[in-house]
Amino acid sequence: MKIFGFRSDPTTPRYAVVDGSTTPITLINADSESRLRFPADCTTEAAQITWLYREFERIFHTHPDITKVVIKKGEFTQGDNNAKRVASYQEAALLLYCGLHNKPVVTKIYASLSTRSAQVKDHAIARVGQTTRYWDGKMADAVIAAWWGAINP
Amino acid sequence: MSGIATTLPIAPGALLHNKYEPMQMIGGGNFGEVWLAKDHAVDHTYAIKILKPGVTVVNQLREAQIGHAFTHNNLVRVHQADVLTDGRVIIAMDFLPDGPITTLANPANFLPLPLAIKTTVDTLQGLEHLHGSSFFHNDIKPENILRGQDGQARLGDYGIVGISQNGQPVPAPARYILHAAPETTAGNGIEARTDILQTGLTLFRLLAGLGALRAKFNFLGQANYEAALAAGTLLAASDFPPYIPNAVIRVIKKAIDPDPGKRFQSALEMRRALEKLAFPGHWTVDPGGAFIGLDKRHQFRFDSIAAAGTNASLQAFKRNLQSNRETRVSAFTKSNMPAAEARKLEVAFIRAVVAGKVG
Repeated sequence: MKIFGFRSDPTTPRYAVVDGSTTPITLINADSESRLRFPADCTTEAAQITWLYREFERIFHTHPDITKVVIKKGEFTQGDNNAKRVASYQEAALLLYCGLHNKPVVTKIYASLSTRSAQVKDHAIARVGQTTRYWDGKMADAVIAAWWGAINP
Repeated sequence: MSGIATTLPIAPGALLHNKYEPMQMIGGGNFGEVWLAKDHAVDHTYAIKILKPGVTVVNQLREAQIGHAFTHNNLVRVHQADVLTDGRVIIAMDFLPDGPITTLANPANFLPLPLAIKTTVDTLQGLEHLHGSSFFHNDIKPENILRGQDGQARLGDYGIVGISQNGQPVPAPARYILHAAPETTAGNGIEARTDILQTGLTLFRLLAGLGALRAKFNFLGQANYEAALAAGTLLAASDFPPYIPNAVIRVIKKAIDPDPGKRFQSALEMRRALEKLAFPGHWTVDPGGAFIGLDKRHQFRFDSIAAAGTNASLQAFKRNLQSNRETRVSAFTKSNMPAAEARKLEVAFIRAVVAGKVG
């Protein structure tokens, strides 16, 4: 049972693929790609979202047995800015992919993932593990999202 | 399976297999012929490939089965195949009216840098999909990269694809000599990294000239050409025109390293290396054969003029695309200098435009 966790980011979206059938739950891409960096000449929103959608196609082709997708969506705050809008476009691209390919998908904020921003790295390490490269709070968000999908099949 | 006996050549208007109306021959080779044809059964136009007899029907159908197995934005799709009563096979593929990427070559027979890189990135995405299923294309070359209707490049022609059960090398069904990896020539088969080498050579040809490798092959002969590729000496620094940035040259050199272990280890890794690159300017050639530089706001040109004795002068210009006003670029304009110095200045100007350093 593979679960895909996603965390948007204006420049480097992150993803985690976990195997929920093992105890403890395994982070499959701990040592491989977990960060998607937009191409240097991919500067418009349309180009970035199209590129990201193609990346989703590639990742799901590589992992055809992903059964569920969990998106760590942006927290609800009083403020709004362009980065948040761009992040929501990325989440929409994944929602569209899942809708078109009949993949179950949910979106979650910290409260419904049993964590908080200040603790997400520790929680991700304790519950699943961490990546060997580019480990930070955003990657932890993706791991926690996938973890939640694994314990809520 | 119903059908009618036919013989080559196919004639326009004569119905094939009770449904295909050949309209125009659009390609051909040792394998047979490719025709633009209307399938009256479904009222759709396909590119149909009519394979020459000579190999078993099972082997002829293999190409169609491979092309039908994948649906991807950067791969040409095979829709169906039919066996004629005389045993020949017809393969119906996407008809892409814009043809191969080679049709976009300028009068100097190369593609501008952004187009060459995008074409290669698209090709690599198609390869990633094939390699993900342990299919090795084995015939990557500019002529097999077609232009899709959304502007994307699409890799086609699955005639000599190799299929592995586990990603390990498999024997090459055949080889395109110009792009055959040293290990393939040595009889060690094909794998993902032999496709990487072919992609590197393809990128070189797109940028340096579509005929650049054929010219080398003709000059060196097959044995010396293959030896040079195996020794890593096929492409010298002088083979790369100055409008190709060093970062791109490094990608090409890594892709064609004779040691597979030193190449990019996957199509994705090579794509990522290209995706890191962006260049503000590039060069092409106008119908008169003159080099024209371009960035978002300017067009550039230069005149190299013979001066006294063996000396030369260089005049560099930029034209604002909005105002159409042309001005001299003083940093790259100099009179009456040794020819070698003039050539150096010309190269520096070309590189500065690509790097966006001529404001």
